[in-house]
Amino acid sequence: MQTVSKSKTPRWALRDVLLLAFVAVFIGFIFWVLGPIYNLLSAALTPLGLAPFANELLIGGWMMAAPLASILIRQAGAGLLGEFFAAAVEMLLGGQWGVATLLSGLVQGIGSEAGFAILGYKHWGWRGIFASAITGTLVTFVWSALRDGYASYHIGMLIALFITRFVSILFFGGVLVVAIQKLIEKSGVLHHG
Amino acid sequence: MNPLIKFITVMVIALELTFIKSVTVNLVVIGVSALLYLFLHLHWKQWLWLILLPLLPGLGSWFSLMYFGTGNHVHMAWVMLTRVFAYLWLGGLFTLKLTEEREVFLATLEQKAKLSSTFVYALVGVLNFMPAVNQQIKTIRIASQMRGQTLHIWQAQLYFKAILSAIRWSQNLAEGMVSHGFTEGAPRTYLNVITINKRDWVLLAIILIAFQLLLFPNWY
Repeated sequence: MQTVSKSKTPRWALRDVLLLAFVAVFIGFIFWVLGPIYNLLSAALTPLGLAPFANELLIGGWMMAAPLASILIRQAGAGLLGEFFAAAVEMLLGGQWGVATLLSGLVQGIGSEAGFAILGYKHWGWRGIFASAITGTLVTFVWSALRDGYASYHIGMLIALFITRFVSILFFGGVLVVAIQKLIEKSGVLHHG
Repeated sequence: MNPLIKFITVMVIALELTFIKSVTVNLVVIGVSALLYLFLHLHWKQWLWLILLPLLPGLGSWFSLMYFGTGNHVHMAWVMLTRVFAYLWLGGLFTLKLTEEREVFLATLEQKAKLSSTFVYALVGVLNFMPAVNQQIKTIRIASQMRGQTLHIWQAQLYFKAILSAIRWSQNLAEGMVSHGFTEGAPRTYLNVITINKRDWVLLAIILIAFQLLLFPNWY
């Protein structure tokens, strides 16, 4: 059993930082196997002009580190830091997106963190998790509008992309995280004291 | 050039590229990066990597914007195709040399950017654990397969077991670090003291100013 330190000050204890980092890396590795699938999927969709959907379908998985870090550490900034850690590790290992990973990680972290922040960092259960899924979708979609040229799509395409992304984040960053939290609570491995 | 300075340069330009809708500016970034790569003497495999990697996401955006775009979408399609290349070629200037420069980069972050040593050493520690993490995920999957249960990526069990490992390992590593004399927040001395040359700062300023000047004309 691990006790997560409950400090009101934003000072980060070594074991919390390490837990955050390890969770980020484990999630990163689970989704790393998705890389080739993503490439295949987007290659298949490219001639149809539907390649962005590959990204939309899988984005929830890439963003999972943030809500998981939040519910485990229960501290302001945990989600942002978790996602940023995951991106930093991926970059330092020479992942295929390099420096761009760090920017996306930052945006995704902010998006997910915002949900918990809006609720005043009081709800770490399903309420906070779903709020973070919603803000995560909104923030990353604005970022995509700028970076990936989404602003130039037809409104129909835009709506389809948005819905796909929302469903993906809702599943991986919402439903799945709630299920994981239930398992953690049942097992009693974490103690917030 | 110090890797942190290089990193700042690359990040600032990458961030600006996100907001700039210009094929010409993207092409200039690609061209300058290519020129720098010539001096870096890349292996042919790295060249191949640089050319093939952006092709898929670049063409992906290009096709979608051509089919489903609205307004000035043909221009935007070319912007996206060149932007993906510019992004990755620019980023490659930092990442391709990272294997040799990673330690200096992290040391600079700690000594010059005053990043808390807790974060720097947590990052160093976790990076060293990467092969073990990979192995552990395989072990988790195989162990459950032996019980006739396949853990899929959409199942909470898989993540739960991974988190259990993360909890145990982070505890062990924290204890290991403390028992090796790591004290949180304590002042440290450094074996390798990092200095950033004045030349690096001047270079950073010149590159960024030149890039801003490039943005003035109304390029395609």
